[in-house]
Amino acid sequence: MRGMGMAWVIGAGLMAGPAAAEEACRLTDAVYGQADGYALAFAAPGAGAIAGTSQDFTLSGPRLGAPLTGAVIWNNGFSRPNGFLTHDCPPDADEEELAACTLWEGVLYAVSGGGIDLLPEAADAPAPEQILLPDLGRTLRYSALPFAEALDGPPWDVFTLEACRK
Amino acid sequence: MKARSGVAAILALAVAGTPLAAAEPCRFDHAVYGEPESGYTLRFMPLDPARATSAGTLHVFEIVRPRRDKPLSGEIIGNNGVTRPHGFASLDCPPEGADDDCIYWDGVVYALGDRSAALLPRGDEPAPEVLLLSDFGRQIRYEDPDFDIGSDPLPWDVFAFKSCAP
Repeated sequence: MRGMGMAWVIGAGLMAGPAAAEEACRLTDAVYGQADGYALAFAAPGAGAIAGTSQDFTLSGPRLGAPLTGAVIWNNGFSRPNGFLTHDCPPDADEEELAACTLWEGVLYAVSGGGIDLLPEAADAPAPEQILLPDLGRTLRYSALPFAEALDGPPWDVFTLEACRK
Repeated sequence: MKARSGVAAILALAVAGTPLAAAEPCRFDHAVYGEPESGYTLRFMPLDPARATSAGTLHVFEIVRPRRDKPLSGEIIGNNGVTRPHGFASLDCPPEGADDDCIYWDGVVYALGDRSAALLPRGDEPAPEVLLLSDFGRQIRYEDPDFDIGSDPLPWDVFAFKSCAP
């Protein structure tokens, strides 16, 4: 039992699946989805991205209206891939404005059959099978989104790789 | 006829108890999990209302740390509505209630199965193989006032099932 658990923990780092060997989709080209229509689309950071940004992404869904925009940012020191999802931030928002328009923040994890790891940082990193955004659904349901109360079926926190845009 | 004998076979299995059933799975509220890199250990225990700080407390556990005398107190709380199992690690919180100073970690806890991340089972259900305590390591690193970067092992956020307490 214990051995299995440990293999599960370190497996992700060691094993490259056959799918990855054939034609790996880059994370920055990957689109992740859920059965009820919510989707995460990743992209390389845009020109105006702040230092430490590894990916941009959007969250779209049938009840969300315009897609929410997000970014993954690594800071200095002992760091994690910090994800942020925002709604209608003013251009050149200051710290206070950013806090007000940020709906969710958390650490992004890469989940695969072999285990769990942090979301990869490298620009050419292959797309993991699934991505976990801890507490996403609950946070959006109780967020300041004008239509949050309509999110009776908010997104679940796990998204599965569905398409590659290249 | 065929269907009836099938039902009879299932009933017989349930009543007689097979060798498989004899190796009972560990209840979640008796499970012990380890993080091999740091030696941090989670010990879940049956829910004693006297130890719970909230009506929504789902699970209680201790976090045993290498080279530290006192374990951290662990608690996982659920709420009404759209909810996630929210974990807390604390040390020496004042009896009148927790404050930021005594909370060392808080985050959603996920059970990791063969393919994906899921919400936690109840205490009397079988223990998951692997637990993810989202953002655990970084928060311990920065929130534990006695944390020594030079000598203290840094826990990762993923804990594997290790043993079953009697």
